[in-house]
Amino acid sequence: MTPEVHAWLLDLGYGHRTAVAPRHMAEYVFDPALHAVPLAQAHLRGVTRWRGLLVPLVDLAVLLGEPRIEVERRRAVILAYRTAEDAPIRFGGLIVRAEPKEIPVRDDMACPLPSEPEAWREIALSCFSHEEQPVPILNVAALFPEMRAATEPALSAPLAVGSSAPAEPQPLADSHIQEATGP
Amino acid sequence: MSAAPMPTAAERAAERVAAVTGWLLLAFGGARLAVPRREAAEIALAAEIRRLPHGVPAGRLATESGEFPVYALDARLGVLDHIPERYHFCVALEYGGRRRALACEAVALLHNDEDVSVQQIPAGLFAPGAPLNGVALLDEQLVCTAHAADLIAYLPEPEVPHDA
Repeated sequence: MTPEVHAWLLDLGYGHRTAVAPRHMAEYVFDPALHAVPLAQAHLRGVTRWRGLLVPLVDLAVLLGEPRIEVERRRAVILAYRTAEDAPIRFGGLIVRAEPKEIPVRDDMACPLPSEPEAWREIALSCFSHEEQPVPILNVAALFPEMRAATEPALSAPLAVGSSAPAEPQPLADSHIQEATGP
Repeated sequence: MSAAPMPTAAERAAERVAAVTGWLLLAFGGARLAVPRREAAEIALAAEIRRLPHGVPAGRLATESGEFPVYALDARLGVLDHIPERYHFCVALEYGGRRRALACEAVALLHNDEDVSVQQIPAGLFAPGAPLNGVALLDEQLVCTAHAADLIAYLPEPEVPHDA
């Protein structure tokens, strides 16, 4: 039997879902105040104050090519990440459409990344199947890139960060989830 | 022996912001922009601006140090082709021998660096060419921070150079 770990399943809207390791999940916030930032990429909805910090709030569905939708009461998760092993912890927010759900993940659930939208290849570590649907595992640091991409023709263009993620199934428990849930 | 890691763009921006000694806070069109005080060359009244017919730059300012172009931005930091009547002031910024002025509705001097508690936004979340390097909240309103060098690079070059 393959080892089982846990991940947080996030509903991004438009049928898109993603998962993050528990150690990335800092807090689920309901109806956060949003301050729009000028000259931002289309998927940056603004910044919100969280525990004394101003945290960027990203709408991943927009990065995946969906139109912006405004809801009366938005929901978000605050994610913790590092850009390098010895770098300080940083925080970024992700708009979600429903309460995060904790689910078990095993190696034998690995599956290929969906071929569309292509942006997944830039921001996903690997993928697993849940309820017969692929769920990409989010590379949180890639969602908040420190560097501007070399060529970005439009504000809504996908981020060009890092190298493309492989389309083939990758082992889950010994890399992207289990490692990320360590102390 | 391994070489020291190169600082990231965000780290370099943080270092530069950390070096400020007071801020100038420019307000225009509902936006607020803070620039390090020492990067501002002078403040003038908009009445001294020679407004140009619709175009970019939208005006020129002549001072003892020369004549240089004046720009006006809207709330989204888009470059306007005119200076709105309510923009009563203009702040001249200088970097690398180039001087450019920004018209604004109001300008305030913040003596203490701590008055603007800047937090970095990952550079990749800004549009290409955006001159901003951080954000802060002041009186529960967003303030964006930028350096004169980046603002000057962001503004379109005038057709005829007017370097001071």
